[in-house]
Amino acid sequence: MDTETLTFTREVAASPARMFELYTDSDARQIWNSPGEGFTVTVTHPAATAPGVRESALVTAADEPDTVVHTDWTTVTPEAVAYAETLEVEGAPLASSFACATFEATDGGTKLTLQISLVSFEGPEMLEGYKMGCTAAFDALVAAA
Amino acid sequence: MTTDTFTFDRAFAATADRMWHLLTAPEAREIWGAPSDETVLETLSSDFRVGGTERHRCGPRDNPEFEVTTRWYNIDAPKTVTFTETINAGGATLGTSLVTYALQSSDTGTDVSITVAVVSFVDPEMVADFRQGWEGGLAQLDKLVASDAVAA
Repeated sequence: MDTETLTFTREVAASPARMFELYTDSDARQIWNSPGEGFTVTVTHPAATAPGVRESALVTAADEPDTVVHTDWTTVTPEAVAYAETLEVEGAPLASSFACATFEATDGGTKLTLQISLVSFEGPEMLEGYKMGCTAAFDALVAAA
Repeated sequence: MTTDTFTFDRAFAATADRMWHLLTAPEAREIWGAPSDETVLETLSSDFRVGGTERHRCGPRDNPEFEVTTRWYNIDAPKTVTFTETINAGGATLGTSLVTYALQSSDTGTDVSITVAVVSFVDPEMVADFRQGWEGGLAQLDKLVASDAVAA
């Protein structure tokens, strides 16, 4: 079992309300919450972004197996959102994570903090791939802001 | 928001199959999951499968005020299991943890590693409460396994 915790912090020139919108709007997440260039994210089972509900998305790319991502929301407030993600290929779970993002108002916009705890069920290579995907998605979120 | 990650490594004098049952079966978790003899863990519903959820009530025996929702993400018996636990009280979410059990057979029984990544949505003390809850629960599990050995 391989685990790791990642923390990202960035100042962005957007309001906390805008960051909350980017997180809770599934159309917006299809754009920024991608593991990298060449991947397409399609929300296949949209749901109200609220505690206790599950959203599913299909992540596709050339020469990569189709991956289903289940997102289980646990907390959704204007100041913070938290959710668990599970990655599956052909019904087999590869990795899970629990993420918490906070949006703190600053003079110039928002201090964005994202902490992600990762667990790989398929060894350290999966963990490295997951980390790269999380980093790419966070950079895309900052760019979208 | 306050976060922390802690790992508990324990060696138990019981087989991996027995430890798997004690760690995952709702009726077994009711016995050791409460952190002390003065507290209680009651199962309200259970659906032990990948994607399934469980609901518990826990707290002091005369006022089990905390509601715990568990969702299972990976189940690979009798080796690993991963789940989240979210604790609510009074209509507020207090915290969530991502928990992984890893079991490995040893010469004397089973080595169990438990990783708990905690997020508190209230105050930093909640993280300490999570840790104390696990420490208390594992002490109860130690006693349960020891009583198993005596009974055998």
